[in-house]
Amino acid sequence: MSEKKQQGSGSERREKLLQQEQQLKSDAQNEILPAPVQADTTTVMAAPKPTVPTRPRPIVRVFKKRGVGDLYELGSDSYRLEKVVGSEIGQAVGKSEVWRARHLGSERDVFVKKFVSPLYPSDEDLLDPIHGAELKRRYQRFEDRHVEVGNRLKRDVVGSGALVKPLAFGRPKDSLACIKVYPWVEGASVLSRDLVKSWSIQTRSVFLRTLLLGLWELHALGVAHGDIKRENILVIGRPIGPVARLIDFDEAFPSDAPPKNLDDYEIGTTHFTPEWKALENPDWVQEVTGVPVKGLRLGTATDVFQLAIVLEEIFGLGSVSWIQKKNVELNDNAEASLRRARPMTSDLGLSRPRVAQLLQQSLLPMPAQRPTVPELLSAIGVTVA
Amino acid sequence: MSGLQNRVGIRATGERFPIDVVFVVDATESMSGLLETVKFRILSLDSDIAERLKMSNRILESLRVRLIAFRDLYDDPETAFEVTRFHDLPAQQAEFTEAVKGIEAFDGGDQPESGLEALYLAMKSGWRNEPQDLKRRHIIMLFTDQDAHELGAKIPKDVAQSPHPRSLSDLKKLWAPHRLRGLMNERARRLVLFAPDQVEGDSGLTPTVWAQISQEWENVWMSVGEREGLRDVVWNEVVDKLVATI
Repeated sequence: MSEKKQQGSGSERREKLLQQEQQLKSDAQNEILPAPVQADTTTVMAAPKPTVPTRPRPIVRVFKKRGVGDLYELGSDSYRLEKVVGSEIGQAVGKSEVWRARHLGSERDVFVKKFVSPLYPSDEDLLDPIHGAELKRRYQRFEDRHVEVGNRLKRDVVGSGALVKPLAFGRPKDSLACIKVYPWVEGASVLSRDLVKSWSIQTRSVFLRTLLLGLWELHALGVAHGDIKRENILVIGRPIGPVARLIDFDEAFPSDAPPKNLDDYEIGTTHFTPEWKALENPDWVQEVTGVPVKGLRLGTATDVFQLAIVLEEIFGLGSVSWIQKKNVELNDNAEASLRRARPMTSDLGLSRPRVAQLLQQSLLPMPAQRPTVPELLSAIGVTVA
Repeated sequence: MSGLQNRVGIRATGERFPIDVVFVVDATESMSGLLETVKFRILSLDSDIAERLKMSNRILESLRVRLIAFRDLYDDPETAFEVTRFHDLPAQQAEFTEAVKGIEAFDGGDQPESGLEALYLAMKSGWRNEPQDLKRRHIIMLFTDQDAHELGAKIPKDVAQSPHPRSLSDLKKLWAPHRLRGLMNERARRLVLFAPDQVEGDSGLTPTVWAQISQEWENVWMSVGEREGLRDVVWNEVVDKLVATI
């Protein structure tokens, strides 16, 4: 009963307040300033205010996002970003962000490549009892490989000139991502079948010499490239004819301490391009056969396998054809080699039968059975010590 | 009979990639154009991807797509998410069309939306995880023109069972690889953000949560979108970005 009484009393008062409110509006319209009216909030249940939903925001800690004109600083070197570049000059963009930049001081143009994985763990990650140590270990493994490869490449300052060696590697200030800096190669084209189709035997020969000499130099420095493919071979014009430049040492590794499996590399990235992989690229053989195969160790012979495929695609038959006894569909060249199919190779238009023979050997499944780069060089008339 | 007669010359056909893609699209009013584009163009995504992969001698083995449309849990939990299951394309094109045709863009404003919850829903999709398949790719493509609010609002039970991550830090841990108790495969996972890196706040331009994710999470690519909406994003760019991560 008392509840009903209260409700009745409340509704009367609300009606009174509404009348007051209408009066206020009317006064306002007539530009009369009314005396403030105090609602009796102690006895009247006020109409509920519409709740404004609160939207909590995360605490955002963001390093400055680099754009055109911003700097990456590595040690005492600074690189000013000028333009995002695509893959037309052979730089992989899928796993990284690639910029054309300017080195301040020397005012030289460079490539700056930012890696999206692995990242240095954030402070919060490092404090995490489950993830912290593992994340740091993964990152360190990645950094150690790049630093070691970089140090080996610096041993021969002059070299053949065919290697576009990285200038710097590291983690800039205010960034969890590493960057790698390469010299900008002016006037270069990516190696392609169209580009070489009109080349004479002599032109082909000069180009292949420079390419093989570059690879020989790399192997002599104790480094395997690990990712030989057309996009990583540039062509530049010189008075003697087109010459080769080998680029992108991001997947390179010390040839005497190769990774044993994918986990030996940075997590989240593969260290080969599937179309040109060799049998020994980690985990792959086991995937196909179900069992690991002994004797498949990554090394300089991995580059030889990959190079043979590229050369056949560009200078030879367009792709490697495989002869096998059973008509089984083959996914790729590595699988064909593993299944002991026989590759059909050409002499690359050099009129040297020995070249075709060595290319065939280059595609043998066991790395130890493949020729070395000096042997390939000797087939085109170049003897190296 | 000569043994040669039994021999067959064959060329390698190319590497095969099974790909799962989840499109996470802000379905507030300003994104209506993009949502319609995604709904329409996603149907030809298989041929778009296959064409680009073919250029590098790769083969699209199979494609599954899923769409998650999101708005704001704080506005209306009932309409905050609209999700489809994975559909095989092109085989289940008709079913997929049916599943997405009712998803419309509405509401919204300048408030942060429930993009982080939507990202979480995408991360816990039923990805294909055959252990022997190194070529699989699990790709999340997220589109929004707003910042996201912190996790913590209750996701309706019919959308996802709790417990849910309560903060951006929790969500980051779920982005970690399986063996570090994350939700996704470390080799397969990719996240592509078409999102603003900063928005206008009370104290001027402030960085968004998307900017932080792009800098602190691995395997993330970010395309900075227009703050007024992603009208500048064209479908070819979306497909190019997607294929670039493969």
